[in-house]
Amino acid sequence: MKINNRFCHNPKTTTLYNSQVGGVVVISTLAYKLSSLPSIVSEYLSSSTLWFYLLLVIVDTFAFVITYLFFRDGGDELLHDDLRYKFGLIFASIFMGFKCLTFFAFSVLFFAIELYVGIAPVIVVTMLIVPVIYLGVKGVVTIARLCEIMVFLIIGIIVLNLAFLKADLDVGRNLPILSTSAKEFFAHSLRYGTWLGNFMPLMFIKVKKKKFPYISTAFGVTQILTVIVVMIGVAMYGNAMKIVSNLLIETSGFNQLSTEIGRMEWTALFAVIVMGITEMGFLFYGVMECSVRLTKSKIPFGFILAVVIFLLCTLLPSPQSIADFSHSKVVGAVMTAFSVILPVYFLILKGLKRRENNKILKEESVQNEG
Amino acid sequence: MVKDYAVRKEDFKLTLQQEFSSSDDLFFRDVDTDTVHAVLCFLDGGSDKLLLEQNVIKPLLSYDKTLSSATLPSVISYGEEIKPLEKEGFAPAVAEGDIVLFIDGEENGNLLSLRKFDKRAVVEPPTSNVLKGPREGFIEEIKTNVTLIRRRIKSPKLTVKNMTIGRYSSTAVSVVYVDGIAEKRVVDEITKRLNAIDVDGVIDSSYVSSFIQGRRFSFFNQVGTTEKPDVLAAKLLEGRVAIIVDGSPLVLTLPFVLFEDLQDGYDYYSDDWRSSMIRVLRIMGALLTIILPGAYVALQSHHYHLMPLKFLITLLSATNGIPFPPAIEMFVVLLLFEILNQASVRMPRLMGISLSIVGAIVLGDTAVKAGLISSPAVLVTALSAIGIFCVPDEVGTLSILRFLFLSVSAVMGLFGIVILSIMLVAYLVSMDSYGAPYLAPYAPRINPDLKDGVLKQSTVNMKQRPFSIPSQNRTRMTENDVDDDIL
Repeated sequence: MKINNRFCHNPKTTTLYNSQVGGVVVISTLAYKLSSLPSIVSEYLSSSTLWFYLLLVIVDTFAFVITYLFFRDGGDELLHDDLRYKFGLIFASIFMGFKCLTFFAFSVLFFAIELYVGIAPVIVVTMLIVPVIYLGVKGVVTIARLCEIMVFLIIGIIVLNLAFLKADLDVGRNLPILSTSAKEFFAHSLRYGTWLGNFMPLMFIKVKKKKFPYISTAFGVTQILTVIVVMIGVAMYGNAMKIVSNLLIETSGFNQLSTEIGRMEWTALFAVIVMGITEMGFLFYGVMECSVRLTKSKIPFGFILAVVIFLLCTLLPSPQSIADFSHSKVVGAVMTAFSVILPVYFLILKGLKRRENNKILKEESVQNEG
Repeated sequence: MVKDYAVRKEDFKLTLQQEFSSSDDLFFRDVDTDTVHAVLCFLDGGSDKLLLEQNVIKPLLSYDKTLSSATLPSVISYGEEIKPLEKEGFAPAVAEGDIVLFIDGEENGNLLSLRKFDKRAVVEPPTSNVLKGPREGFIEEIKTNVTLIRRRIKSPKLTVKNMTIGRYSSTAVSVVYVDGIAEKRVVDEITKRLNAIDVDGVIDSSYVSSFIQGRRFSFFNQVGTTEKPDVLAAKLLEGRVAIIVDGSPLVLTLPFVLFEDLQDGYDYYSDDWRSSMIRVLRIMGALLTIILPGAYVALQSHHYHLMPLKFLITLLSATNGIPFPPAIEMFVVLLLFEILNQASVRMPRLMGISLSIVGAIVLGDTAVKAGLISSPAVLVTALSAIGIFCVPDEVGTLSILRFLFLSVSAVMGLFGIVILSIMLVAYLVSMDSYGAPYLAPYAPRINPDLKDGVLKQSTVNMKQRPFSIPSQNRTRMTENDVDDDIL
């Protein structure tokens, strides 16, 4: 039975409170930017890593603002049956699906190499794919409520680990030594488009506002936290950061409390696993929503993505090849383009649709008056 | 005339005897005078015979005019309206403990209710002891239970809707709510579901509970229960609906949110700071119960490098020489605890002492000394066992979760615990009970309701009824009721 209560989920229109969207933004944005990405960036950009992250913040903020303008009053509802929208959704599903696959590969690598040495990837893949599909199928309301509960825990863990950090920091390592030219810097920066636009599935929701500006606050806090953690990471490790497989976890190892109550990596481990699975579930949900709008059923795209993830992560010699592929020159550039162009495209479509609708209304009113 | 009456009387008796398969406790009492020809039918032990004799039979015997249903109320002393009863209703009425009065010359019978069943005294319920606050508890008799609520909510808006459920048991069930506060749609839906129950018998309220909950296969409580009238009154005033089942001291309440089980009547009768602390401790107790055995096994089997060195050395020396792997050891100890727990609940009280000795000394101490189980495993089980009773209403659920987490952590370590936690939270947030989100007021976060959340605020601040529960009227107190300056 569903009784319409202010706070009860109505499956027909996915409306989220801005506080819930804020939670989703924090978890989806932090997840892989602070775990897998820093070491990869550092490999190419070494001391310019922080500057790359600042650039990432700018691009991500732009994409987020555009996406927000689209979803805040239900752009998806407006364009539901628009063919141009459906055309864009094909690319959006590829974008989100590829992101989900890449993050999954990174997670498998982390578990199979870092956490449980020598474990068969198929076991990790099987165990990981279950909660991802479960969250995806449950939908954005479940994910948002999950984020609402977890977000304070996760921010608390990150802040706690930073507050008790005891390490030799050389902040000067963050200074851009001009080992790479500006042209090279920007060319390399294009490789990491897979880590942009983690919040894209938000385009399928509509926001109900509470007084406090949760979304902008959450986005701001997230970006600040990201930059701080990366800055500390570079200050701690310098050029050695390329061998730091998971920055958030490795940083928490320097927590002063570790000597008293045991290694504090497990706190960050908890945060990373929760954020990772939630983000993958969220992307999986996004792909299934594309499927609903394109084929009227969640199953086709959802099934294809689950099978592709399972097969590629188990049959390939190592998921590392997926990880490497994700930040290759061409793929990275395409994903960067997708992360920016798709929100802009959808926003333009929304504007056009509004204008068309207004025109129709105007014509109807003229006819009525006539 | 007399002969005709004799035939009709025998017909009446025969019909009822056939309905009751000539049951020996079916009694008939003939009242035959010159003017009065009547038969009373009732079940032995179901009615107050003294009242029957004094207020019904005696006046009938001394009545010297022709008796009819119309004159009956002026003849006998009976407090309620005497309802006419058709022939088909005779047997069910008698089966419920009422008396049927058959008057010669009339088609219908007359229903007299002089039920008298032995009942328990209203005492403090053994499952909800309180340090401070009312000590009354519900009993097995439905009318007493309704009266206990009426004593607390003396308003004509307190509505009681009666129904009967159970083909054989004909159990009386009352739906109780405060009209104007409880959401009408919730009341209608509950009533609809109760009316749809088609079962041979309802022995306890838990029978009803399984019919009205949303997810049949979930092991989480989806219906609130209470044995205390003060708690029920507070819930009714928040917009919930109560279901009272005759024969059960446990009253059901709906809609239900998980956080209800972490609250206790005592929270509202003690200082707010103390209440908040107790609630935090309850949550910690529940988490300790679920996660501690699993975390212990995960740390010992998969992540020993996460423990501080000194702690690890102590743990290794304590577990050295144990023949079983940590997971099996913990599983066995927990299983033994559950068995002892079940045995102690069902064992006669005097024998319980010997069971405690057997459990604590023979099984625990000897097994540790023999090197079969380690003392840390016993310690972890003991902590987990104590923690479970911080939330007594969730004992069953926590116990199952404890085994689930243990099984997962044995195979996958902390990774498994985290994955199971995510899926569990995702499952819980997706549940709702008659329009109330199951994890409210935390997911979705409902800020006004956080005043009665983990950190409880003063009752003075709770000016509105919970938004988590569907309600017709949110205003609990008007601004004028509380003058902040005076406070």
